[in-house]
Amino acid sequence: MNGSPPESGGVRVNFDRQLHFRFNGKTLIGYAGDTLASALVRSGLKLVGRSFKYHRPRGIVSAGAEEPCALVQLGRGALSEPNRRATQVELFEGLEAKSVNAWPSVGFDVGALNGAFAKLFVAGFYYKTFMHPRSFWMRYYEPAIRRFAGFGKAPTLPDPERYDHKHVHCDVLVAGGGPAGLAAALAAARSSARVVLADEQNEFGGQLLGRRELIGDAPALDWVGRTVDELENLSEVRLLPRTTVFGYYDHNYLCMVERRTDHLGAGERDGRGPRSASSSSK
Amino acid sequence: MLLIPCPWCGERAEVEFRGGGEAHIARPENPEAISDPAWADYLFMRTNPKGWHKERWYHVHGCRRWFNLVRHTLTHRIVASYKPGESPPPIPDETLP
Amino acid sequence: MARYSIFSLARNALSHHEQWPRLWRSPEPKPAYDVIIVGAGGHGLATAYYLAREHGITDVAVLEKGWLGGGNTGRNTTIIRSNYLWDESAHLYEHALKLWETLSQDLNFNVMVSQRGVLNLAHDLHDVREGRRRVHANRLNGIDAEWLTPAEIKAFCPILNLAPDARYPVLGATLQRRGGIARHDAVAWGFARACDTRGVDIIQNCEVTGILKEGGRVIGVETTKGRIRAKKIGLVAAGHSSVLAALAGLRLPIESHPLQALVSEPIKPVLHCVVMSGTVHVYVSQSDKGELVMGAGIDAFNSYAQRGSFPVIEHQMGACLELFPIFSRLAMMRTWGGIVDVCPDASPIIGKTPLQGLYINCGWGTGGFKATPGSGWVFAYTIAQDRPHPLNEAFGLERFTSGALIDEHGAAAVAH
Repeated sequence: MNGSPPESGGVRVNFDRQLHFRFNGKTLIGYAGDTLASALVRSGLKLVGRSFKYHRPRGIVSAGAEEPCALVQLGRGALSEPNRRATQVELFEGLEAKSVNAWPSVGFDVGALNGAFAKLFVAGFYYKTFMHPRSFWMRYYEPAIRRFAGFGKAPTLPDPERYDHKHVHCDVLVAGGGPAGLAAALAAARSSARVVLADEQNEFGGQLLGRRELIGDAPALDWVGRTVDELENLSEVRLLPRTTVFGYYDHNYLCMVERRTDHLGAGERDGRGPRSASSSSK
Repeated sequence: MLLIPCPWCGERAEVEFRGGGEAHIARPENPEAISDPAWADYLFMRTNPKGWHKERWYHVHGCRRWFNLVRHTLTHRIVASYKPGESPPPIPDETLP
Repeated sequence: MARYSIFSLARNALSHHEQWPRLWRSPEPKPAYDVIIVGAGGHGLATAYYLAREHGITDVAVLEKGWLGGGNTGRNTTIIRSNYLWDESAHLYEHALKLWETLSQDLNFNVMVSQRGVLNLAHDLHDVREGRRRVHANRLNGIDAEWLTPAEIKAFCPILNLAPDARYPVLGATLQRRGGIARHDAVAWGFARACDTRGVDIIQNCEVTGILKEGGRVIGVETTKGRIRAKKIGLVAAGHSSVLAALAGLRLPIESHPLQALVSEPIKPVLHCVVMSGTVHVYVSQSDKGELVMGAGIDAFNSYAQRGSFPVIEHQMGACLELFPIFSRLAMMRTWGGIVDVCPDASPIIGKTPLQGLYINCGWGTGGFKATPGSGWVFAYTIAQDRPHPLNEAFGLERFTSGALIDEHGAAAVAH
């Protein structure tokens, strides 16, 4: 533990490149290729958050966008951002993150007292009470409810980063660059279609990245590498890693957001261009 | 984002257009001679169907011409566009929006 | 009805909350009722509630094609206020606001009415003139209204961008302190429970497919659950008013449009009032769960799809970030749409129809939620007495023939 390389696993992590990051004020070690979550797990940190209402202790339960518990406040000042899932944050040198919805600390959270009243504070309990006396709703009940609600905090300064928007037109949009998406994009591209392939992770491969599968007789990641190479060399193909397709609208209009600089440390980010580009694809 | 087929410019993005409401509402020839309810019907009453709609559009950021569309108001499917003065094309089978 | 209170909550905690009675029954429709209300949204359920409470009429069925509160009641941005321009509208919305103020206690259901103040921002000379005029008009009608200078706005809403070099700088704002928000779902459930308790049948998954007539009067409806007879039928189904009216052979001055809205992920309290800007077009508030709730203008085409186009969302977010630059790094969690029935004068239609026994309450467009209890109250009166109440007299269908339109596009504050 303590951030040292494990005996197995960590296939996508480069243990030759050590990174330092701070979580809840404590400096920890991670490596290039880690997410904040994988670095925390390797560091032995199990308690990273608290549940919304009862403030029950929460750890990391997944490895991707499906993570319901490990919500963190990322960065500080003007670059602060609430509710980032630790499983989706690519680790960089100097990253800072904090637990949210816990006071004074995630380890000792006064809000956990709510849990003691769990039988009273059931779902929708507030519809059944807080009605008398009438003036108490705005003066006491609502402010208290609001303070307990919400996870992270909005920044208090304006956002200095730049954003961009472009329209993209293609014949085939493939959302998801795992084995099926890569195969589909390849088949479409080989038929001379104009293809856009988007995946929310920093590299293509999807579930193949975390397992030791074989395609044919060779490691699956060999096939992934060859496929990405071929796609990269086709002029009518656009590869968009770190890109989430988030909406499918009428007449085959889709929207995506590409994160171009989130994985870079603050020092590397300056002058590197827009933080994210939202694209609309037809 | 709707893709709207302008009869002159072809398919263009919705943001180039402005909607003009229900089509084929003929202005009464002699407004002075008709009743108030008939005038109100012309000015205000609308079919507003949940289904195929013949409607006007204006290509404000393009050729700046008015034209008509046949579009389904539940699925947003567009089956035809036609110029002012042309007869509307037949409405597709009602069972297949 | 089990009375809700901290004491009954505590008592029921002992039995793991398994002994609460259901909020409403799911009865099969009877062959006939005194009154049928079509549409179990906030307005329809409020109508049934006030029919029972104010007029002693309880043999009522509220028919709902989907699930109660699943239409616009569940899709709005929850703002309540009464700062409309014309006397007729001001009195109607103010009547609603007064009912809001005691609604939780009346229904014994916390609808979380939060009178935290509504700002309508002015960004140019026209906005300033329109806003100040409305402040004076409101005050003359006994409705609370103030004009704030930028310095006063800064004190009231510190996170608002008041930079003088903004593209459309804030020059001032109207403030209605008694305006605010309410929990939309609670409104539907609270009214549903209250009228079910009084004997009203709420019948969901029951779509009206025909309106039955005899002579010049209505005698009942045809539905997906069979035929139901009634001498009085009130149509109050936002989004489907034209469809229902057509079943009775009536035309309405209504066009149905998408109205989209969205929420951010829940964050700690950061915005403590409601901010609306007609010019830099967006309206924002923060729910008690911590989500920023926002909306803007309608999509410009007719639609029953309950969804709109993404450029509308982009423009709304651009406006939001112009007013609140600190929201830029927040994640938006969910977007959705409703169907708003837009009237040429941005005012509702509440009253009788040419068919005896058929009443209509529609055309609230983008501003129906704030009127919910008031709309139900006057509609119940209209149905019970077979004539409009003074508060909704001016809002009859006849005004489109007489020309006495009540133009509230300015106060509606939503781009059409």
